[in-house]
Amino acid sequence: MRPTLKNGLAIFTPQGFLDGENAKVIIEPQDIQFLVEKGCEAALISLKKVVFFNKRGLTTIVGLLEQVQEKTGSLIGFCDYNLKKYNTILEMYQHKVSFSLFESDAIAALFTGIPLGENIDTKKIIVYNDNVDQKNQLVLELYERGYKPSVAKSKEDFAEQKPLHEVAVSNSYIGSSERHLQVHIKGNVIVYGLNSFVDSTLAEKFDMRYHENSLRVGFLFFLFNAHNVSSINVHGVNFLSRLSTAGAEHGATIAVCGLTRRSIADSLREELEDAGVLLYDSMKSFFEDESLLGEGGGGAVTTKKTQHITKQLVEVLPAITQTAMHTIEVMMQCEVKKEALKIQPLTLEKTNSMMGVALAFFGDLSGLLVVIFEEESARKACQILLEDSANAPREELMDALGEFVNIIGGKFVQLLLKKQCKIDITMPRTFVNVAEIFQHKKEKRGAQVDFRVEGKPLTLFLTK
Amino acid sequence: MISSAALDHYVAQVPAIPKIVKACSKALSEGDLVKAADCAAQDDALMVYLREIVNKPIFGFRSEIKEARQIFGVLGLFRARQILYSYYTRLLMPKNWEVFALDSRTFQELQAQLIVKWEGVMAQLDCKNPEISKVASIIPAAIAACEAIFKHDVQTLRLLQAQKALSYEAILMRMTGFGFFDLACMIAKKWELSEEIIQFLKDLKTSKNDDDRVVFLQLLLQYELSREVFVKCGLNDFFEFSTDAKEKQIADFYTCISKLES
Repeated sequence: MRPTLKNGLAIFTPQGFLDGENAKVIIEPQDIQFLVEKGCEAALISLKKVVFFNKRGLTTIVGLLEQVQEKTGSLIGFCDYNLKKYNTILEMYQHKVSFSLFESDAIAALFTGIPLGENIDTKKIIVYNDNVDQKNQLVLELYERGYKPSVAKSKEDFAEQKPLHEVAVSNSYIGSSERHLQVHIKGNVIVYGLNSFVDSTLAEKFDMRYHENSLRVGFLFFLFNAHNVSSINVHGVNFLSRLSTAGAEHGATIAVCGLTRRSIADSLREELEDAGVLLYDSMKSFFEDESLLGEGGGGAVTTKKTQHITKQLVEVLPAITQTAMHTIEVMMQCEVKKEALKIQPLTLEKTNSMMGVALAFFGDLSGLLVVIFEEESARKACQILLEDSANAPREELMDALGEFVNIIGGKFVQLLLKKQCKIDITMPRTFVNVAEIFQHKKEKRGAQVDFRVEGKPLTLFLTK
Repeated sequence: MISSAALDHYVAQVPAIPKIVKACSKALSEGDLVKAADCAAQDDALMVYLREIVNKPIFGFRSEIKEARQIFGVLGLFRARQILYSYYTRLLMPKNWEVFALDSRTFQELQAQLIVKWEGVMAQLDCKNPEISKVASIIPAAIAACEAIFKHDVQTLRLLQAQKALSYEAILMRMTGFGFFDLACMIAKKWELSEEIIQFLKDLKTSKNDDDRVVFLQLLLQYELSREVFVKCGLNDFFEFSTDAKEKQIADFYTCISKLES
């Protein structure tokens, strides 16, 4: 059963009955291989549509999840259950579970992948668990990921405070597992959390694929928060230096905050500076450095070497145009008209209602695809992905639009695979307005295809 | 493109029930097994189907049954009615399955499992209504219909599912406003089935849990489509499964189905 995979979180959604007989086909070897290739950070089984499960079924599926964990090092467990299912699982395992439990996929997303959203530290989260150890673990984990959760003192306190918070975490359970480096996004800056001793294990824990993909979709600032670091040795410094040198090609900046004289030797500090790593006393001082981040609050540095569209990309342009047109027609149930094709820097009308998604692809062929929609068209395109696309908040719409463009990307991958050309795609990076798109793509020349969908413009831009 | 117009177009193309099969059905409703068998013997396609399905292991007959009268004799009125209705469904079966990794053998397996187990479940519920007994045979028709409706956009569907874990039924609902059981109702109307069958199909769509017959058939479908063979076929991703059954109903159903399988 193919899982959904979003921001490193893979969710399998079986339906109906889960017992010893059928549980073994929920995760098959090809699914594990898929998760290895895609670099999943967590693999969960959603129990939302499971009517009935027994111990045999659960044991079988936990065995399969452990195989996923062994191959990918990901967090494993279950999500989307009610209180009864939660208690049943804990009782089946005598309250000693090695896997994690998250009461909803939205709560699971708080604990896995890159925390999404602009200001995650202002997201109102309340945590309570009858088990004090678990309560502490849940809170600690959220803190490490950049959230600022409130802690309820008692069950009554939790019930009282719950309506005042956006997210209430209660019947969740953190199982023990090895994790990747903590990472979250703040104002278009990717923040990695470093802990205790930073040595050669940093290279093992660091998700290089994720980092490279982030560069491709336009992230240019990477901050390593070293507040909880007791010391960093030469191997840790070498790794950060190499990262900085490699990032320079994309115009990316690597910064470290929170290192003290106790945690790093002077010679190593100089080595970091020589490699172009920027050092700050605190995270606050980094984000207050307007000369670096610019007025846009991050991501405004221009790439030193601007790459334009290549002959190979022009060759695949008809295929990608056709794929995009067909997908848009199917999802929007209307006709798409191609109006113009030009090789030029991205040129758009600057209206308030335009939004875009960028998706990079790499492998045998590399490039960047940007799709720009009018908000009204975007809502229509996402009607299947959203419960109520006409009234969905803009944040949800952006999320769904990312998924929509991911579908176009997925089809493109399959199309090229048929032509013996193997590529992979990155996570979609969404842009809420035209100004934000231009901040990243204004200098690049590319193939711009202008479409018209029910009278509204829709633009596809393909570049290197 | 999946749209309500495509749905209407499909339903309009659903073949009518052949005259011989209708005559056979009428004879069965009058309780005349011999007349029904003689009618069936005139339709070669129907006879091939009856032989194939009756000789499946789940029916438990030790030796091969070939002749029409022999088939109807061993089946009895109750099962003969169900199997005749499942033949209606066969009329919609595609030559090649693209959306679901099914073949005619596996599809017939699903039909046979539903027929025999629904009979057992109805006995457990002490329900002897012959019209209700036919409903389980009609349901697979909607699976065949969805195969035909979805097959033009398989790739988009797969990617949609990979993004959002949407069931085929949820996609159908969002794109046409109709669900799986609505589709089953449309086909049942086209075949001029009884109002009682159509109403029961409508009830299956609801989440009301006060009618054990409705809940148990919903659970039976979920149970069957959770079996290994159908998970592999992609049928487990088919329904937007209802989980409104009461705990006691789920426990009773599981006990009943365990007995039937032992």
